[in-house]
Amino acid sequence: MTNEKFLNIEGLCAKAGDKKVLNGIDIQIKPSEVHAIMGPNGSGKSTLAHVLMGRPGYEVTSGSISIDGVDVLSLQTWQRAQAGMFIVMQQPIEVPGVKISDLLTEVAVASELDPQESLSLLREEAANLKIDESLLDRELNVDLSGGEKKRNETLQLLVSKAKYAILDEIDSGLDVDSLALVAERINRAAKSDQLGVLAITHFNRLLDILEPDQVHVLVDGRIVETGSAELALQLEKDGYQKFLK
Amino acid sequence: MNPFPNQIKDIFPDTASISEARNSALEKLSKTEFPKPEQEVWKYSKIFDLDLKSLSPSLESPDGSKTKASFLDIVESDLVEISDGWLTSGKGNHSSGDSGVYVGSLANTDAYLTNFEKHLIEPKDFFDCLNRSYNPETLLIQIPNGVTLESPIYIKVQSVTSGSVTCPRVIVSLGENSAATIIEHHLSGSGESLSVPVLDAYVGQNSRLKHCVLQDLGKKTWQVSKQNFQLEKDSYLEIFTGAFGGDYARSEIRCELKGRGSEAYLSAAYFGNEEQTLDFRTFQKHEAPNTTSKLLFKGALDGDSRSIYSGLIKVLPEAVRTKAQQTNRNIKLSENAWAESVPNLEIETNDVVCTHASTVAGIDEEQLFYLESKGIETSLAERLIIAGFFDDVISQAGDSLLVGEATSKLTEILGNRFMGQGG
Repeated sequence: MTNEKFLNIEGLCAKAGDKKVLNGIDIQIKPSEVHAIMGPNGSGKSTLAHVLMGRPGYEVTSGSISIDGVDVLSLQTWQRAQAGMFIVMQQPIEVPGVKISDLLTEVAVASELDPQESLSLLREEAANLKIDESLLDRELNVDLSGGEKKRNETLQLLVSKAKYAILDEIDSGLDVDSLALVAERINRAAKSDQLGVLAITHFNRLLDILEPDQVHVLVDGRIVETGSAELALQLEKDGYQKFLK
Repeated sequence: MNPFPNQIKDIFPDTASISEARNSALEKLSKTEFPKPEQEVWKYSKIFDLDLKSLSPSLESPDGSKTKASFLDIVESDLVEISDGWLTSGKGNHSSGDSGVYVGSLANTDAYLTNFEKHLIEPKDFFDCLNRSYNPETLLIQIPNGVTLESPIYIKVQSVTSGSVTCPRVIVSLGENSAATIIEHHLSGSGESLSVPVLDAYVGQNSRLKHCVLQDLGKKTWQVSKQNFQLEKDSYLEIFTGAFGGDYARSEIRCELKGRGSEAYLSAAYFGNEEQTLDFRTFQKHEAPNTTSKLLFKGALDGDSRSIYSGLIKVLPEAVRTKAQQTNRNIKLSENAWAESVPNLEIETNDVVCTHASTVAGIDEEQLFYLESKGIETSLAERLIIAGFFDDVISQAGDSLLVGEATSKLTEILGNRFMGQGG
């Protein structure tokens, strides 16, 4: 165990069934850093997000994932979340009959947050994200618009006090105004609350606001290039052709 | 085949007409066979394990001290109590006043003879005949034309004597333009017993009936319950069954939409544990045009428990523009639990919209991952998902006492089920 604080992904290889899906991923995300992952469809971006969070159906064959020196590979999904990881899924799952407020209450209890404090934080962040409080009485992701889902996920991220956020195409299903709202708030969380961010996206309009420190290009389950925000601009212009065999 | 001695003359407080009906039921019972395994309606059930020889019908009103605690006790004087099939207390406030509402023993009124008799369904099978033969006192609930009951009628239906066969019977008759809510709590002691409750409900033109049963029987109780609903023109019915107890508990629900424009909404929530068998047979019969029925039954099965859902939607040729739905969803919580789901449609006209669906599956892995990814430990996430699964059917029951009890019952079961796991 080291005292260094970062989300450390080292030599991560995984398969789904017999198929190799991640072929040695190395990324280090320090608090306040924003990393972007870009790549063609099917290159393993969402898979990486799911493997980080321990979604069933994937087998890690080698490599490691640790948070602030603590190995998380041996942890269950909920333990990884409690250790400080938070995933915003591309398609947040519908859980009928479970209210958003129920979830937030349970999360607050699980994280041993002060109920009063977490409620006022919730109100404040809901206002920041222009979420009407009546949304909290709705069932989780049931009949919510794409924008409502992602703003709700962002709200949960902010009140969970996670250390590292994995955003799997948080920009999909978001209109321009909602995108700005969400991305600016996450950018602020990175700058002022030390949130480390791994943002999977196809689009620069998200990165323009998130201001990534590093951009990684993922192809065939491998990082084939890492660069600055400039790289994202170049990718938008030239596509992924030069990385494909 | 009547498994019990026939000498019950003068035991029950019958009027002449009730006595006549009883005798004819007894005669029919003696000629009616016990269910046979090859009968489709008893398929998957374990009725053949029922040992009637070890049981005997309740022939006297039980000692009042034997009463079981019920969530309905809170309504005190308004509570109607049926013990071992006998009306032991409560005619409530509903009988008083000028409204003409009657809640009480059938033997004490002539009203139904003129109004309701023609709607009663003839006893057909063994358990119908058993109920008619050995029902000590029938509870009649009669709501006259134009009367809306402000508060529900609460009925505690209990089997308190070990080794007994109890045959409670309730008749509900709503006149035209009337409305009522009836809430029943079925419970029993820890000894072996068989309960055979029968409900006949008639909903007059443009009337509304809500009927809910929460079944929380003892572990060794068997139940074969029958509910018959008849709906007249533009009437509206909502029914709910919460089934949690019993060894073998069967509920047959027959809903006849006889009048044009009538609507019926049927829902159920059930949770099987250990060796329990919960058995539901439903019949949505559309006999008139523009009728609507929607059924949603949801269950969870744990341990070695089993559930059976078998339902039929039948649409007669004249029932054009029928809308009918039948949905049964089951969550299996253990390897050994078993759920059988058999939806059926029998449609004799083209101009209808009918759907049916049934599922038997474990806890949804995507939902589980989603909640866990928020930092909620596995067992709690499972609890949330199951409670959420039941949320719509239970909240539909509406009555706050019943919803409260069903919710706390479910919370208790889930609490025991997921206690200390995954932590």
